[in-house]
Amino acid sequence: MARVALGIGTSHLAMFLRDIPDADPAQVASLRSGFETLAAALAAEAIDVLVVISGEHVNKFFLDNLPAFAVGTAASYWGPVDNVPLEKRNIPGHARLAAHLLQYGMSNGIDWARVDEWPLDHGMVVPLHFLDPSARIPVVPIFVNCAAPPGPSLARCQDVGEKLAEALRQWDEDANIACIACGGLSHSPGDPRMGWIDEAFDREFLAMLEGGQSASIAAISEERIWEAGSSTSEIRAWAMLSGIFKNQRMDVITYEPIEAFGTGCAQVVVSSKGSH
Amino acid sequence: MSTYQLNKAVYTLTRTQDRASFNAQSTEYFADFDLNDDERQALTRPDFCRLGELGLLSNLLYRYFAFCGYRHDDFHAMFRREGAAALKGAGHDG
Repeated sequence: MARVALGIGTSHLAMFLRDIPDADPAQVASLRSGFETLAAALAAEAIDVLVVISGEHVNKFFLDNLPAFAVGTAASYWGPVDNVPLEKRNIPGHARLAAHLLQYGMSNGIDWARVDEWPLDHGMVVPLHFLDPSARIPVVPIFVNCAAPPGPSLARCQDVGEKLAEALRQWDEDANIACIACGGLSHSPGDPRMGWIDEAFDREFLAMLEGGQSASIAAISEERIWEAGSSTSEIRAWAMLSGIFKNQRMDVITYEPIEAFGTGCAQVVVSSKGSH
Repeated sequence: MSTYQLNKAVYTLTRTQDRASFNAQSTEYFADFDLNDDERQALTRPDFCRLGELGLLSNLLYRYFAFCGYRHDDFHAMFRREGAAALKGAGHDG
């Protein structure tokens, strides 16, 4: 049977790859170092498949047909589709695992949208660029709506994460799986609060992850998420991770409220063996 | 007239048009969408802060900003200036 060996939460910001002159070099270096730590954790666990959870940025999903959750079932992907300073590359998919997740979800309370063709945007490709630069490990991309309100509640995201973990454990292949949640934390691109970071919210949220306080995460209200920023909604991916590793303590690798990026940037890791 | 039509106008534009041809016929382009005067004016000026107020999704707002030829740094700076006043009024100190 498969094992959910590792969980990672990480910011996915494209600005990390741009030359932003005002960005504090020490903070940027801290994030780069964080990616190295996460990549080393992946290598140490001999991961066979990456389940990558993220919102996306109105590149694949638009208001004409917008699911709450979707699973990519393709044999391969490519990206980034958006304007990010990265070379476009092919990324192998894992269609067998995706088919299993689709089937399991439909019988167990996750009404996935099925996506057989999916050009990936920076939400997934930036973390993959740092964590698996040679695109060696096949991925199953999972979408959660963070870009167009209303998104699923954090409680629902956590519930889906918990069911997803059960689905992964019931997959009848001998495989080590890592789940990577990508996004946030607090930020407000394209609204008047842009540049403002709700550091108190970010630190409180990370403390909940660190303490394994899944119930506290599920109880965060939509009003509080919005108050922390118009795109802080991306913590829905992190809430799914908190469901996959329910009540388990996570290690906070990095938190940098980078003013020039206008984003609270964070990285966490959790192992099925306990604190990493 | 709907937030959907406003978003659809920008979503479709940035996927199907190049800037040079759009600049030559921007009024005609937006005529294909069911927009009110406020929305149409915000698009053609363009007034990015107003577009945000009208409900253009933030990701599409940024995409339209780039499509119109502005630099990333300008986007950040513009909303920071607007935001400083808004936050002050709202009692934030960030």
